[in-house]
Amino acid sequence: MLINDLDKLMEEMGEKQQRNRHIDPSIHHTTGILLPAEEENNTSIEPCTGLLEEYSALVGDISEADGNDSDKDNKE
Amino acid sequence: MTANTITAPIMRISRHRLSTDGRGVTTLVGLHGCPLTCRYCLNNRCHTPDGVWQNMTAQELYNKVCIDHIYFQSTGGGITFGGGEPALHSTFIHEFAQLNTHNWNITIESSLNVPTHHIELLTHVVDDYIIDIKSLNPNIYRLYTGMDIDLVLQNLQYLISNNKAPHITVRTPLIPGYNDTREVETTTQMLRDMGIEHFDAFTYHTDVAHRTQPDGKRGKSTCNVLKRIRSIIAEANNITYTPTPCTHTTCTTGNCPVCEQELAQLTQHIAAIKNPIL
Repeated sequence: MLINDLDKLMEEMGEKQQRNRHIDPSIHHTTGILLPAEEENNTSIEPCTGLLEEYSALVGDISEADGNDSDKDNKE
Repeated sequence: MTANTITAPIMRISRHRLSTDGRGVTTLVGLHGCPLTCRYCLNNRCHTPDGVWQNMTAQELYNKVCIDHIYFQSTGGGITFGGGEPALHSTFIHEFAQLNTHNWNITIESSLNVPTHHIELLTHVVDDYIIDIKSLNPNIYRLYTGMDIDLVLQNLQYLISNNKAPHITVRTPLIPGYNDTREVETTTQMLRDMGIEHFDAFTYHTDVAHRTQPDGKRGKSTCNVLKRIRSIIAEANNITYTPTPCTHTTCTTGNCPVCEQELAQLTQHIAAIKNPIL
């Protein structure tokens, strides 16, 4: 193999590409409850268990909500 | 069935991925269909039932992607099957691998949330696995994906017990509103305890301010790297090659017609050499 480490070659060229994953809240597959986004490197977000409880209290049984709403979203 | 009769629904073929979806220069093949309904699906078209895909046989796909053969060979790259959930099309991927006489690297990006017989078949032909775990917390996993995590764990354990751990990279995203850094660390440690060595940690951005609008710089970067690869290949094989001067500061695709012509010419030169160095 001529180029064993493409990453290294790209770094040497100053062309290393960063991949960002952007998510679009408009395709949120649930009842539309969008929880606040956490800023990168910010560790002050509440523990996820709290969010789960809050979410469960809002939508009730998760499996039932998931199936109905996902189907609806997909058809739309 | 043969490679000419098995088809798979292909949403897109994305060439020239540079070390972002597998090693080396990679062509990402997006397959339609997914058992998960992730709350922030990164490729929501995989759920749409309106024919956004094109059915192809393995041979048809091979004929399309072989254009980048010299890039694959010279960088250890190849084909990455993503989606959607590519593991659902295990028979198609297996057939494609039978055509892969050049041993291009084959990678799948999978959630592993598929019946285990798919994974059993794929272990014979897949080189690298990029596993999108999300979280090992069953509640978070179910809340985020709409599915139970049991199959994921079963299939991950299957891969590990078949000595695939060194070939697995697990994605452990920080998903706003669903997990936090502490939970990601917990999941990562559990995976380490299982024998996983490679991780890809990142954050899903929901803030539009984070969104990078296409400005052509990424494409231009891809163009520069591919030119360099062509130069290295040409030099190693004593082929005279001078990249066509390009005055554009941006490039949308990274492979304009001029670059494509250079690739085709270099490929022809290489094909004429008895034992090319790639």
